[in-house]
Amino acid sequence: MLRNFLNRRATTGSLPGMTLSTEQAHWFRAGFNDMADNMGQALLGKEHVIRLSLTCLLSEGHLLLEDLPGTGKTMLARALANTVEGSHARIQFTPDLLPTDVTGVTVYDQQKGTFEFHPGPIFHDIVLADEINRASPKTQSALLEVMEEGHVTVDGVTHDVPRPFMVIATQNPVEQAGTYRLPEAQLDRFLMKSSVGYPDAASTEELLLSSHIRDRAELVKPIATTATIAEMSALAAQVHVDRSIVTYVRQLAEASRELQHVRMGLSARGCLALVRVVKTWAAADGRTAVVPEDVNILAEPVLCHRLLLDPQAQFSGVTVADVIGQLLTSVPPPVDRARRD
Amino acid sequence: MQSFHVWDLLLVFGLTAIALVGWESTFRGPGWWIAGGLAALTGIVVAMAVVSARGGVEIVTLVLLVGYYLVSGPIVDGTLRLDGLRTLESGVRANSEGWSILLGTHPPIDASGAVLIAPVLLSLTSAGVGAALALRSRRAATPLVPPTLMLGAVLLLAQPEPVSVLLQGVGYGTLAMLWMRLRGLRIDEAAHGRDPARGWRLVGSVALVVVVALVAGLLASTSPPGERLLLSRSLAPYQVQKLSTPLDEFRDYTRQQGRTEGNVFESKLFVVEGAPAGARLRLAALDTYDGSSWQADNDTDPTRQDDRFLRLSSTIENPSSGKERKITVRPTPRYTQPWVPTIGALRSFQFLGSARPDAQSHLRYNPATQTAVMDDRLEKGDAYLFTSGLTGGLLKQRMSPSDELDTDLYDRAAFLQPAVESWAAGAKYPMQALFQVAARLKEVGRYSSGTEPWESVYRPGHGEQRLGDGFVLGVPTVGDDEQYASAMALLATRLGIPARVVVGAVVPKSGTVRGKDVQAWVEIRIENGSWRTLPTETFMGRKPPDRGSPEPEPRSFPPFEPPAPEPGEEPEAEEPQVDEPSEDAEADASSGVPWRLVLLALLVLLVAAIPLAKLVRRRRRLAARAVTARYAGAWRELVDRARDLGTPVPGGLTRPAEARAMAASDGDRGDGDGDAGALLTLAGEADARIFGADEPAPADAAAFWALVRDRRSGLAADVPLRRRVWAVFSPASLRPPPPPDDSV
Repeated sequence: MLRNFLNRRATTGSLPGMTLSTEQAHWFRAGFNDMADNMGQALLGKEHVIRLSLTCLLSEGHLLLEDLPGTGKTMLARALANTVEGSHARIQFTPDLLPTDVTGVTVYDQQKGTFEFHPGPIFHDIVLADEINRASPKTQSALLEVMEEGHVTVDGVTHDVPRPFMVIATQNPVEQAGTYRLPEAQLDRFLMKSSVGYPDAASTEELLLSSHIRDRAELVKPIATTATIAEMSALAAQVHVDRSIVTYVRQLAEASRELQHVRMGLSARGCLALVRVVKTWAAADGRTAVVPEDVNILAEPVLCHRLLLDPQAQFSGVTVADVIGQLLTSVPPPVDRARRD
Repeated sequence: MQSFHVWDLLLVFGLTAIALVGWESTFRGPGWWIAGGLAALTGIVVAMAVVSARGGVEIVTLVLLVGYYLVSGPIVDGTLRLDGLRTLESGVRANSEGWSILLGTHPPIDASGAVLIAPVLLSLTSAGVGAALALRSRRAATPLVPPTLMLGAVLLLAQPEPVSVLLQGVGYGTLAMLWMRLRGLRIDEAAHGRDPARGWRLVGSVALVVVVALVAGLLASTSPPGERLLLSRSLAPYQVQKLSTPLDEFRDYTRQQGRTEGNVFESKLFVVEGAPAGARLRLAALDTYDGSSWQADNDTDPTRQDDRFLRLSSTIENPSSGKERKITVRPTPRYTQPWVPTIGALRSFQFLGSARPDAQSHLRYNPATQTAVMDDRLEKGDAYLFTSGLTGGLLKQRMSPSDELDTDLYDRAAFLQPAVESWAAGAKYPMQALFQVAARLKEVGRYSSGTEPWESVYRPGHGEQRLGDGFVLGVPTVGDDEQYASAMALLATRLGIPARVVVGAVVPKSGTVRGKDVQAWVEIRIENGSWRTLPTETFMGRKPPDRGSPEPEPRSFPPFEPPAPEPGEEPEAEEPQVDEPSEDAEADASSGVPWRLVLLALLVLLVAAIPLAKLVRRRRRLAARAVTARYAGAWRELVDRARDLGTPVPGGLTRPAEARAMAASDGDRGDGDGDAGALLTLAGEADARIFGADEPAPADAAAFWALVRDRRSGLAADVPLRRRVWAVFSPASLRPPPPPDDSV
């Protein structure tokens, strides 16, 4: 059933500057739902975070998962990697991990008498960077170039990573000993930050009843090729964004810089990230255009790691989620499209 | 605005002008058409301005009505000088009084003051709303509605005689039909493209309308217009029958021994200038009899429409063949009656400078009886000048009586039937019988006003008892003008001859009328409809009664036996007529601003304002120029309905969030599960259409409105009736919504 998706294609081509057609949007939604259902076999009752991760993948961004141990961060990453028929790798970040362990290394081949590049685990379609905050800042920084630019430069030679390319990083918020907090610049490279959270009661019981399944990620079979992912990404970029929505995003960014307890508001890159993900989210809903509700839904995962609160917020018990809620309240969403005079 | 709209506006103005002309016979002076014409032009300009600012017909109406109330004060005052609240008060008072003055005044009405409210308001709304409809409506006939309503209103409010059947009927109809056809063709063309046979259709329509107009014109010119409905006929006239008449108090004008209070026998009552000596000056013409007294009344002449005591402007249409005289009357303080002395048929009337400023507003006049009366009383200084045609003349025996007999009065006079049959025996024709009866009355009668102490048995009054057993049917027959005139008028009526009693005075050479000059006489209606005076000397002599006359006993009328009076029976004492206190209260109330009415109007306005504002809001949302705005408006309509029903929907939410808030509230009532999905679907549909790349089709927006209407009705399905009723008047949706509770 799920594989039927692989046999379908959008009915029209996707050219730059074109607007997504209704048929294409419906095709996109069907594919997206198939993938989400497929991943849902591994993570029970976590539809929202699954859809967020898929949105991140199709928006060509990277996902940071921050949650307590045992909540299914790695499971989510593996499920996403498994659902795509492409290469994937896992890097367990440790304090002694070197940058070359991530990017790869150039070694001398005595037989040929030449230097050869041995690519690291980063050269895969989906890379799981487990417990990224345990690696040294130097190693973390090694990820910067590849996440932002999609290539690695070793010994003066640039090596492109495959497409699609997505880094899913996880980190533990409670065990801070021996960890290195990701700098803001590094955080900004992640399109979204989310958490998995505990499953609900029904999902927990179902999980326990099927405890004989040792690795639920193995249940997730690849149903989408990298070509399909690329095509869906191209289609998502064609979703229409009305000027009023753009204005809304701009107003949110400006308001975020004025909010109490916010030391650093939303950057231009953050605005771009928000617009990218809402387009994919709209397509996943089978729509050809973004609506304000998309912005409100995705504001927290896109903005939460980009807003820097002042120390007073911590003392006052104000969380980033509170601040984002206030931000959305302070800026009314558009009720009509911008007039096209 | 396109070029053809100019024609629309011109035709709206033309039709309004034709309707306005209907008042030509109602008003006097140019004020009414100047005010009406300016109001029509103003209405059109306001409509153009509001429509060009994308305002709807409701806005135009609102602006016109608000503007009207603001300017009605200066219109009534006739000056642009504003005097703060007093100017506004003038306008408010005029709006409550102007209509009753218009309906309750004999034409032509002076075109100034409060009565101008009618042409201004009707012209303003007819032209303004008509112009707005012509500019906004896509229906051919809709713009015709305001001018046609105005035409109907003018016909209802105006006088019986239409100004011009051709102009108001045929002219208006022709213009209206042609305009409607032209608009219809234009609208069809806009909807379905140019009609190849447009020219032929137009020519055919014009030809058809012209033929119909010609036929209608011929019919109108050959057949007189029938009686039509007039609002003035349904308005209650001045209740003159409640007044005490000079006939009731006739002994105040006669010499009385030892009783001086109220007696004006020797007193100077008024001075008349300009009237020929011997002219009959009338105080009151009394044309109904209820068994106890003669009274003046309204609607007693079946041949006239104006036989009512109505207000009087400076002039009145009162045709008469008599010579016109200009007469001045100056009442003295001794004259305390409300009855206004006049001579002949009035043509103009005005109080002089010494009179009270508002004296004219207290004046009522009945042209059928040529009687004027004040609704309070004539006061010292209330001098007045009038022109009138001298009418009347003495009755001759050769004249024929009118057939317009008051049958009620005939029945009332039945108690005098024995005398009529006996005294009229042998007469060959009615007028001969009348003079014969008059002569018999004079023959048997004696004259006394009860002046001497021994004459006190001859009591005043003219009830059935006094006129029957105590006068005509008894012996001796003693009385004064009161009894003679009353009895003679009843005897004439019983003979089948229309008669009435008139109290007045014959103007002496000096022009000074004293109490002793007041007398009562009888007027008889003759065949040509005019009234002639029955010479008093024909039925009343001055022979005094014999001192020591025997006790009254029944007169014998062979061959009829008169009914014998019961021994010791006293004539029934007549109760003095007193004005009902409510009259005074009403008079006091009408002297100030009608605050109760104003408060009531404000209350009604307040109650109606909220539903009206919501209606306007809905119409604006529905008719928004941008189709996406119609989607947004439809959704807002749904949210506003929920707020009016008491559902807390905070502001600043996206549509799906609002849908969830509404569904959550429904869920609290236990029926929200089914609604949530429908509401979310509607919200999603609105968002998708509004923020989509393509412009949605108007038909889709209309379909969305239909869906919203269904859902809107569904919102109230499980709400208590009280809450649903309150929702209509609730201002909740008109207020800014509360912000969502999500502050740090």
